[in-house]
Amino acid sequence: MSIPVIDVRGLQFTYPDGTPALRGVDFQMMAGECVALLGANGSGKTTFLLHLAGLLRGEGDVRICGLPLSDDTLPEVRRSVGFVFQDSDDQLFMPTVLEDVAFGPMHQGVRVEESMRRAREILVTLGISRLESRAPYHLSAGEKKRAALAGVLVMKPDVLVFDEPTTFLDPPAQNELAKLLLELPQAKLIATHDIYFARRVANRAVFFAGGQIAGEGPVEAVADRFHWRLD
Amino acid sequence: MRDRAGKSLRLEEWARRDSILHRRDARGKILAAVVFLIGVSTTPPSSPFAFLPVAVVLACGLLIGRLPAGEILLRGLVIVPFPLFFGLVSWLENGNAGFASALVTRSYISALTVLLLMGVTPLPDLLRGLRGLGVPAVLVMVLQSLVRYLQLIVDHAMRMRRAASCRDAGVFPRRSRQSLWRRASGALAVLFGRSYLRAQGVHRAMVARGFQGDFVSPRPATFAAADWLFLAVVSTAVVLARIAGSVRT
Repeated sequence: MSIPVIDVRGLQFTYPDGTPALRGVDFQMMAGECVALLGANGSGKTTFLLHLAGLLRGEGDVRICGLPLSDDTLPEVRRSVGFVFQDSDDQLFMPTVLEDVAFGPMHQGVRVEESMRRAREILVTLGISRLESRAPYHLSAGEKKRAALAGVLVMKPDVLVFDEPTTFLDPPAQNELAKLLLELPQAKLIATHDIYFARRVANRAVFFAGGQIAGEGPVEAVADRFHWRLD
Repeated sequence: MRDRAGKSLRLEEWARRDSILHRRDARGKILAAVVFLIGVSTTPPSSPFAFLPVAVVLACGLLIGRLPAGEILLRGLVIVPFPLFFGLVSWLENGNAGFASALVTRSYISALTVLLLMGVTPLPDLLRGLRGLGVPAVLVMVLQSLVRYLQLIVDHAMRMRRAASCRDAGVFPRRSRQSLWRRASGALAVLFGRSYLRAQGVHRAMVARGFQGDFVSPRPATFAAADWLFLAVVSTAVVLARIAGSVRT
C-alpha cells in the first residue's frame, strides 16, 4: 500500500490572539491526486496550508511523504512541499527571475552553478526562458505566477500547494495556469474560491468550515452540497 | 506607482551591469570606498578647490563603472539638506564659512561614494562582502531585511497615496495644516500595519524555499590578484588626491 504524500491527523491551531483557526483536521492525499480546498474566508484553508510547509506549527500529526514534521525534518519537508503563495510579489524577491528561481536550490545547499542550470532548465520547461534576466516587478501577473511556480518546481517537490492561484489573473492567464497544472505530475492541493477553476483541475474537493473539514468528495458534489457557486 | 517603485530599484539594475568595477570582489570595493572616505574626510578645506582632486577620482569611478553620472549626482543631493542645516548653524555661530562649505561638500561626496559602491555591487554581494570583512552577522541581516522591505513599504505608500488622492478630489491639500498632519499620521499607522503583514508574507515565502537567515550569493566571491591591484590603485589615487588637495593655492 502506498504512503500518502500528505497525512494530517487531529491538527489544531490557535493564533496568538486567541482566534482558533483549526479544530482537529484529518486529511490524507495520495500521489497524483489534485484536491481543491473550498470554504469561506477565515475558514482555515490558508492556515492549514501553512502547516504543511512547517510555516505554522500546531498540535497534531503532520506527515509529508511519510516524514513526520519536526525541526529535524523541516528542510526535507520544505523541499517536498512546493508552496505557491497567493500574491506572487511576496514570493519573487531577487533582482532577476533567474536568480529568484535559483534561490530555493541555492539555499538548500545545491552548488550555485548547478542551481543556475536547474533554474534555466525549469524556465525553458515553463516557456518563460525569455524572462530570465528580467526584474520580477516588471512582469505581468500571469508571468509572475509562472515565475513563482518555476521557483517552486526547481526544488523538485513531491506535492504542490497553491493558495488562491487565480487571484490577480485575467481569464486567459487562468486558462494557461489550469493547462499547466494539468500537465504537472506532482500531487496538487489548491485552496481556491474559484469553483470553475477547481472543477477543471481537481478530482476531489474538501470543504472547510470553522476550522474543520465539513465535507469532501467529487468537486461537483461538494459544490452542490455547500451551495458553493454563483446563482 | 509602479514607475516610481521601479525608479527606486535603479541602483539594483545598475549593479547588474558589467564593467571592470562590477567584476571586482565586493570586499575590495568596500575597502576602497573606506580608503576614499578617509581621504575625503581628512582633506583640509585649505582652498575652494581642495576637494577637486578627490572629485576627479570619484568621476573616474563613475566613468569606469559605466554609471549615469547625472542621475547619481542628482540622487546624492538627497543628503545635502542635513549637512547644509548644520553648516548654516555653524556659520552663524562661528562665522566660519570654510568649515560650513567643507561639511556640505564632504557629505555630498560621501553620498556619491556610497551610490557608486552600490551602483557597481549587487546587494547580496555587498552584504556578503561586509560579512567577509568581519561586520557582525546580526547587523548584516538587519541591513538586508531593511533593504528588502523598504521596496515593499514604498510600494504600499504609493498605493495608499493614489487611493487617498482619488477620494479627496484635490480638496485636501488646500485644507488646514492640522487635518493634513492628521491624515499623514493615520496613513503612517496603516502603512506600518500593512508593511508588517507584507513583510511577514515575504519572510514566509523565503522560509518555504529553504531560507535559514543567510543569503547565498549567485556570484561566488574570489579575491583575485586583480582585486588587490584595484585596491592598490584606488589607495594610491586617493593618497595623491589627498596630497594635491592639501596644497594651498
